[in-house]
Amino acid sequence: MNRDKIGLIIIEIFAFLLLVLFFLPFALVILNATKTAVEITTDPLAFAKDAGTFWKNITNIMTSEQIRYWNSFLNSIIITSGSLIAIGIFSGMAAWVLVRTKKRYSHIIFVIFLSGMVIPFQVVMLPLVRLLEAISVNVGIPMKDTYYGVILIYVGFGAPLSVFMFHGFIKSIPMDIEEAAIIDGCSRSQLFFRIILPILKPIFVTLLVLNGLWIWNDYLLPLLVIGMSGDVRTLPLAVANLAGAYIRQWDLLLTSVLLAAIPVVVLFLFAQKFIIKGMTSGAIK
Amino acid sequence: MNHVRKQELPFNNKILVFLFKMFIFIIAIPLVFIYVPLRFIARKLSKFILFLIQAIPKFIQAIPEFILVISKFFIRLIDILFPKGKEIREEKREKKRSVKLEHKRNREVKVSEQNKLAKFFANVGEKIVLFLSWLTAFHPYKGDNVIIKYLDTNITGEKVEAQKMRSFIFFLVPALGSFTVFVITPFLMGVFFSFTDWTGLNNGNEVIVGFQNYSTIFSDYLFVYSFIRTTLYSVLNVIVINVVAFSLALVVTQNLKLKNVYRAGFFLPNLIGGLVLGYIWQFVYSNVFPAIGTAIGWESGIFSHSLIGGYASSSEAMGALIAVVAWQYAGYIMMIYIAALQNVPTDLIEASKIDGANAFQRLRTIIFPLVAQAFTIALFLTLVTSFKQFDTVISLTGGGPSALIPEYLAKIMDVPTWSSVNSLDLMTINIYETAFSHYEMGIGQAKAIVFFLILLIVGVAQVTYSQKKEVEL
Repeated sequence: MNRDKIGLIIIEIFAFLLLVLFFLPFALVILNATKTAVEITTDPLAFAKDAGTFWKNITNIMTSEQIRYWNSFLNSIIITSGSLIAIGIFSGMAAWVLVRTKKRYSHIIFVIFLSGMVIPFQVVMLPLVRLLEAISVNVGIPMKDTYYGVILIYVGFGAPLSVFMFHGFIKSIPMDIEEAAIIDGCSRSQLFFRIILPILKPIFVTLLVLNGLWIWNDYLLPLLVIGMSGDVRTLPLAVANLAGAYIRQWDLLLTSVLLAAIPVVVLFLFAQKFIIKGMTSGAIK
Repeated sequence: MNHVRKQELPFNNKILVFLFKMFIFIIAIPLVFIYVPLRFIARKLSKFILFLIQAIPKFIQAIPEFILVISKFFIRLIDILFPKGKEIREEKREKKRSVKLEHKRNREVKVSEQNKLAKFFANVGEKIVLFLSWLTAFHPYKGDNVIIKYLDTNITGEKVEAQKMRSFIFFLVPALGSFTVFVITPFLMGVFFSFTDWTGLNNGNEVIVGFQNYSTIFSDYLFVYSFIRTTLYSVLNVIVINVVAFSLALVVTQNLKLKNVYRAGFFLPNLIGGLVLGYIWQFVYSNVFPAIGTAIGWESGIFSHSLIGGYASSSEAMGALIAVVAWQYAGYIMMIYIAALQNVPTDLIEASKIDGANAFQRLRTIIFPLVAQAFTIALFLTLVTSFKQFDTVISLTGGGPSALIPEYLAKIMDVPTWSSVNSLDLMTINIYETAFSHYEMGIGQAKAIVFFLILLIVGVAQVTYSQKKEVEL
């Protein structure tokens, strides 16, 4: 018994040291975001001489034309939340009718969706850019650098996984519920939005986390669809834009990195349970 | 504070416009431009065609009567105007009648044969009319359009099946539509463009060059090098991440006081995007490590020079990248292992303790077989994400630092030994650079297709192999 306890204490200390090691890069970022560029290059390990520099760095980032923080932040939020809601509802709808319509073509459509999961973005990206240009020229609807364009593209890329996961879950929902609702006078759309969608909540949360992290942090797709200096550019693009312009200005870059990372970290602290649960159950399915 | 410049208003018309556009795209356009017109056109067209079909024969039948009536009218008019003419005409008519009667008597024998012929032609004509009407989808006897009838019974009508089909289409269109437009279509386009000399500047004037792009990329030492580097990176990365993640999971599933804090803490780097992490670590590698090196007086390897700017060697860069990705990804994989480890029944472990098994034996004989499924998932996830790695590398080193080509590769590819390569030029970065820096879109697309095939083969091979192993364990 005693030996076990000592072992546990050793492991506890070891884990704590590991945790400190894991947090060191973040600590370094915070430490150096409070310093001027000269202080950083002379000694990145020293503490800041003047705490006011941190505030000055932040105001610099907020007013910087390179990053346009509030704008990018808002764009990120609109694109992420819009895509999440659209992906969730649309693929839920699709999965539901695919499960409930027991015909051969519904199975074929499901297999087509599944095939989308193995296609990496790199294969699709070059023709996609061309296709978007063709759409805006021939149809007259600009798809590049618009909210709806990016959101629709994310729906396209997020649909396979989401449809797959919803499909698996909807199979386990008994038909009796739907039949009862139909007898009570539900229309097909009411049936989905009032009966099925609430039941799908656990999968919905999982997908919210999985897709949310992917879309919020995505860099290559926005780079191609929105562009580095686009109107609706997201936070990663803004940070990359700043880094491209001020590659040696570590004070600004580190502050912007900090400001870009903070929203997710804050969200994580509040919704830790959901996020961890969502990520793991998503992977296992 | 006057020096704060005026911000752009965060909430401007854009959001309203955006909501309006979303409404238009998702609800209004399908409704207004597809469903309503289809239904409207179907109903109106079918009624109009029915009307035409019924009206035309009547019209044709009416023509002789019409002519008769008109001619009678004119005859009367003439009779009133020229009374004498009537007598002359009647004489003529009687003459004609008598002649006709004679003719009739002569013909009567032939008439029956003529009737047969007429019936035959009527039959053939009917069949031709039926065939033509089938071709144009008009059924003259039922008085309805075949296509429209099909649409009505299956999609636009009021029957239960039609309603179900309608909701099937309506529910499927948003997801399947955007998936088809933005994933399947570009994929098929990409397969086609990989066989053309597309450069991005000659849109519409591409020439099909067959397998030339594919032979170009396999004789391109940069691509072969990047394939080797990607494979090496993926293998090392998978090993490092899984070892780190599994040991972290083992540590964290012990009965520790702060275990939830550890879990959340190890998981945290995974939340922050690869791009941002790359910048953080670029700073750490380029500024902090050399500073630590000078502080502790141990100036060698990564502690003596910056990662970027051509100072670092290729293996150092690879190690640095693997460290970053392991730091980022281990927490996530750890969570998968934790979920698996928690399902290991505690009584089994207790029993093994009583039987005198040490920790290593327990791990080998009890825990590994029970979490084998988690290994399959984790290996697959890490393998695929390693192959697809892009943003971390872009922000960490931008694909560099450049190095000399390895000698064995120079021999195989038959290029001079002083050829330069980028040491972190992973396949994804190579594709991106080919397409957007060298404007060789066709070649880039061919590389992407090869990348896709490699990913597919590796993924399938890994999953089948692991599942076999799972059964063996």
